Amino acid sequence: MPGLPATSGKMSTRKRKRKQKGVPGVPQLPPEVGDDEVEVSDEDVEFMQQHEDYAGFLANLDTPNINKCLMGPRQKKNAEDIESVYEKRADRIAARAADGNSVVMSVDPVDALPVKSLAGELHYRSTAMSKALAQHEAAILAEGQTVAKKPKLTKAERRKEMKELKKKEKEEKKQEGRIAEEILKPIVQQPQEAVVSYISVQQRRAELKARMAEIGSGLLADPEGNLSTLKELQEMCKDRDDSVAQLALLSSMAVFKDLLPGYRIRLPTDKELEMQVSKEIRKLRDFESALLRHYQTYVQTLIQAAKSRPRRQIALRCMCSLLDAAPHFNYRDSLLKAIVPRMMSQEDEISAMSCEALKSLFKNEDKHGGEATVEAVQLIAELVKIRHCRLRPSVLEVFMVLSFDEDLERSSTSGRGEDRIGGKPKSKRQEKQEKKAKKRELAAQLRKEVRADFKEASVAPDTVERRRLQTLTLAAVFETYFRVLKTSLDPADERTKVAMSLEENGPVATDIRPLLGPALDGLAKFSHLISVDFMADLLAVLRTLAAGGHIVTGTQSDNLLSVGERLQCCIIAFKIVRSNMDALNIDLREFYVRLYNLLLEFNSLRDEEKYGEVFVQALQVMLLEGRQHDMQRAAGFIKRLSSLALHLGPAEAMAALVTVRQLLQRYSKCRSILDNDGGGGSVGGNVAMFQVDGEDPDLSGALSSVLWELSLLRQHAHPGVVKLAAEISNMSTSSSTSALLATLSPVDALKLYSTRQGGFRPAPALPPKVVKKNAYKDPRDISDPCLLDLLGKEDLLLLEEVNDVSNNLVKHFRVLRDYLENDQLRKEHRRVSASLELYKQYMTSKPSKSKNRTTKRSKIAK
Amino acid sequence: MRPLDEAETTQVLEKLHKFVGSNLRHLIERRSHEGCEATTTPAGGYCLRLHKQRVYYVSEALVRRATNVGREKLCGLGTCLGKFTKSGKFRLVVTCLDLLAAHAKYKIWLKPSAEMSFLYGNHVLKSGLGRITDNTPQYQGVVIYSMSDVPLGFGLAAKSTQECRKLDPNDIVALHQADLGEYLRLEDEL
Repeated sequence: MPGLPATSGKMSTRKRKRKQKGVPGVPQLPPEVGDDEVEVSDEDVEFMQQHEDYAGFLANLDTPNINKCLMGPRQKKNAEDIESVYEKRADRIAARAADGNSVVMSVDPVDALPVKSLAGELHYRSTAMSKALAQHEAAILAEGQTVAKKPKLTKAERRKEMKELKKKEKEEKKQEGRIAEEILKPIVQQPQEAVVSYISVQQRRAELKARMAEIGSGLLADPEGNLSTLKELQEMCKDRDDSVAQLALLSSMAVFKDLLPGYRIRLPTDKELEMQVSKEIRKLRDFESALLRHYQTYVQTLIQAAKSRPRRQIALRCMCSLLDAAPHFNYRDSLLKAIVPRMMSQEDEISAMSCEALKSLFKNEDKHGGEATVEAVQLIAELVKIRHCRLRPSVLEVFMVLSFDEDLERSSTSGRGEDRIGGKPKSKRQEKQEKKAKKRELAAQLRKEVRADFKEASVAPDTVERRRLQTLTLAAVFETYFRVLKTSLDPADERTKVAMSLEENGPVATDIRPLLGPALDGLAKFSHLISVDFMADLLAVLRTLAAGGHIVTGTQSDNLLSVGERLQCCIIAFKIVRSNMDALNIDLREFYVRLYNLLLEFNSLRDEEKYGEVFVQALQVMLLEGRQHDMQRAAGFIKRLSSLALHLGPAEAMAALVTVRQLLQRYSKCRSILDNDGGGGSVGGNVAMFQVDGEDPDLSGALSSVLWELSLLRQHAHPGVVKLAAEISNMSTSSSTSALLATLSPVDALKLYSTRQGGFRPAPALPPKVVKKNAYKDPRDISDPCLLDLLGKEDLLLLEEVNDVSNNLVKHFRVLRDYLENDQLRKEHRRVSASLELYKQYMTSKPSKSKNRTTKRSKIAK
Repeated sequence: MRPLDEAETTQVLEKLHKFVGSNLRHLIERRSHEGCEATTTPAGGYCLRLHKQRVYYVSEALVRRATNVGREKLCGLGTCLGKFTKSGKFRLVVTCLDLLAAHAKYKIWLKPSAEMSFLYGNHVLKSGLGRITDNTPQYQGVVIYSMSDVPLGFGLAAKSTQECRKLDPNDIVALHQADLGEYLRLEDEL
């Protein structure tokens, strides 16, 4: 048959065509057309009839089935796809909402936009997160309290409870194992799916957190039974996950805080171990040693954690609170060793935390009997030594909290005296002597025992021991202070210069002598405790410091101390000498010379507030409280102070003038400089001329000068200064020492008249015009008390009126804004509803099409 | 009356330096207003003159005038600082007290109870010590004052300030050299 291959070829193409209709990749459904609607050409009919054998199967083709086979599953699959996407997303959202403590807040694109309520408030979804730490801790604490409230259980009950707890724990462990497996499964199976792993991490965190809480509460309920669970907690502390580890650290800190006993645990020696002991004692021993072991590992973990960046803050917090809670306990030294170097950390928070911890350690000395103080102080001293005094000032400020008991010495010596009195002279006769000796021995033995018992019973620590500790502490503190002073004398050598250039970029202030200020403060505070033997050397150092380090450093201008520091040196020298007054009355001539010269330099930095206080304090301490000067010196200071008052601020000028007046009152011979004729007469001494810039107050020849500055000061802007100047200049004529502010000290004067906070003190009466101008200023200013003083009653009323008006205006504008907003919202609402209407109409006209879409649209519209 | 030769000058100035230290410069460079009433002449300085084994601290104007008086007739002029002993040593006398007091670096103040004892020529004991200048070295020349800042005499510090703290009340703090009482006791010699 020649035509066969051709027909077969035709047939095959037709078949292919048929099949192509259902080939995947053609998304549209073929139009549903009935068989009779197909127009069949005559050729086709003929062909069919010719090859009935071949084409017969076409008649009984099951089109719907074929269609179903080719298209049906496809359609279904599509629908499923969409659904699954939605489901997954919903799952994800739910998962995120469920673990509210995810550290990273991720927002689904749908939720990214805030929802606006009718009241106009914006609500952001998915913000209720990241409160877990605090909550967890609170929970632990709460549990601790409830446990504490629980009544004591009998033995049987306790045993029962223990059993139950153990059972529970076993179950929990099993469960946990299962959960862990479940968690791990997806990670192992589908490592590529980040979302799942994220969820699993979150789940794991939540699980572990719950576990921590359980362990914690279990431990608190029955520490002896559940001590082994501590191990699990320790494991968690070393967890790879930072947040888990942090939580574990915190919770074990809370647990240990409650568990640690109020005494130092001493492990039993071998000899003691050999001895037979009762059951209870053995139990106690086991518990103690186990606790100690756990605590040791915990402390080690903490020290490790403090070295890693993400955990160190938490670790340090744990260490600080442990040190605060249990400074008496073992391993305190390793805690201290970890904390002390962190005082000079670059991070402010860490250093502040450790400083606070040490301060509280020093304050609560009763907890540890002073031993920890000694250790800490010695560590700090070592630190200062190693770092060549280049540290934060806050490191030394810690010492200011230290307190030393001065009565210790007295009480201890009196105790010794009693001991000595205890012995009695012997009798002469032998028999009696023997008898008495025996009796005495007995009595002595008894007394000894009683004393030992008493010592054990008494809470107060041994005075001798305490004294020893205090001496050690003091030695370390003063060693540090003296080292700071000494190094601040040294010129800035290469090493420190390099260090400074390194630190210049850092946050630490580039002070040449960062520690000098706190060291001087500390010396002033503890000056009465310095031994007289050190005083000479100390004064010598202070003298060179007060001279600005000239003697040692030569004339390096960059290495000089600031005027404030030098003034402080002078003040401290005086304080030290005064506190040792009973030893010898010393005239600190050099320091007076320094002060005399510093007064000139002080002029240049009168604007700096802290120096104002130092200046005034110097006047008070050196000129007024130090009792005796000679006349020449007093006159020199009077002259210099009054000329200084001409160009100081009103407060400092007042302080200076107050000093001048008191000096004049005390040294009545100096009043000759108030007279009009120069020369000074007989008291003028051998120095005929007054030298303004003289270096020595004794040789200034001020007595042969005239205090003309007073007449200038009488035209000062400040009424207080004017008054005081007038009073001083009338001193020579009117002998009456009546006075305005007779008892005012320079320090008080500075406080009274200081204009640092703004305002003018005492408030002068201003003309009403000016007051009105002031009244329209920002109402916040009125809170200043000195300004309130200025304003009269009417002005206050006026002010209130102004306030009312402003309040009303604020209200008005707020209403206006609300109105506008409302309007806009309404417009929006109208638009949306109109479009919805339109859409509904459209839908009713074409009901069959895409129901799905309408629902979607309505969702969005909502 | 003649100016001092070099050896004598060093001796005198060394002695003064013991008391006034670096203030010696002020003492030598001090300007005198004596004898310059006729404003044309500039104020002269002070100088040292030796007369009859005594050293005088005199203003130059006075020296010029004193040349008019014969050597035999001239008893003294200006302020007598001290005298050279027969063995050639120089000693300060009480008349220089005012000068020293005005320029003294180191001072000791006496309690009122100890004043009289010192004025009778005794050493200063620890019990009589009212105040002492800080950082006084041992054997430093000191001017001794009453508590009301009246110079009473001068002497040497027997102990440094540091050592003074630990002394017994009866130990000597300052060695007596001259005191105001000598104006009465040694009236003839002065």
